[in-house]
Amino acid sequence: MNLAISIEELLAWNDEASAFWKAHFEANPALLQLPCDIGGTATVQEFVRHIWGVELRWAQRIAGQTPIPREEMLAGPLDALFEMHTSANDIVRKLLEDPKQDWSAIVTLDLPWLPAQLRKASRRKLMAHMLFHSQRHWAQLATLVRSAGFPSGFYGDILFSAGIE
Amino acid sequence: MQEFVRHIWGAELIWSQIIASLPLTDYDVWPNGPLDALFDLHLSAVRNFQMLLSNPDTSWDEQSVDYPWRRPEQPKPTPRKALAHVLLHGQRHWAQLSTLVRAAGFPSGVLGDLLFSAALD
Repeated sequence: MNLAISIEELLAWNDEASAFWKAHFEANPALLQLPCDIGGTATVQEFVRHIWGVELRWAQRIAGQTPIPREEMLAGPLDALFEMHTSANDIVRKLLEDPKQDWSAIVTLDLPWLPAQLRKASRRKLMAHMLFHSQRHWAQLATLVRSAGFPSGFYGDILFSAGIE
Repeated sequence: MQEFVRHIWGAELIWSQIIASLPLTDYDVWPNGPLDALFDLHLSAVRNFQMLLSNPDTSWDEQSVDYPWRRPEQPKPTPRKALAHVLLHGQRHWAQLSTLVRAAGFPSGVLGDLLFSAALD
């Protein structure tokens, strides 16, 4: 072990967050219908779809696959949304187990909303982005549901993660 | 909002001191403002982190560090975990802050995702 936090550890941390929110929504399904305006969404369920859907699309890009079109991402139910997360994990873990993968390889992104100078990035950077994108949104979600009167008890900080020593 | 920013940068400072085994600046001693004084908390933390990172003798994973507000059931983190924690603690809070100011009618335009960072290739 050294100072660097590995992608595998971040993946475990991200998995903990997803597992927490899935269980939390299963216990409190009404939360999914709360209004939300983050990430171009209208409800918490749409926001969760955005988080897990983006994971899948980034995982597919990193693997050299064509990302699933947004309009083909299911709107629900929760289990279907969670499957996008597990599919993303499956793709990423398979890549991580392959020692021949070149993580410094540059990917050209066909994303018109991205500034032109940022449309080339290493697969390593994209992997880290994918994981942190979710974590930043889970933090926003924790604030959103608390502000709406339903504190989640979410401990999202790395300090509380069992996946990192 | 100012108190929230104080929390973010103050946490950076106190964690840097914990990891570096320096005396801790008590929460009550942190300045309440102005902004420059709060930013100095961040700058002091960065100096501590850079000192640790430039020292080849820094032990990142061989012993745990303790923090005053740790509950008994919570394990003591390694320095590497504590460093990762405080860096990402700030990032999670900046994400919350950007939502908060936008919801209040003042979108910040912050692009906080790693994808937009020039620090990583």
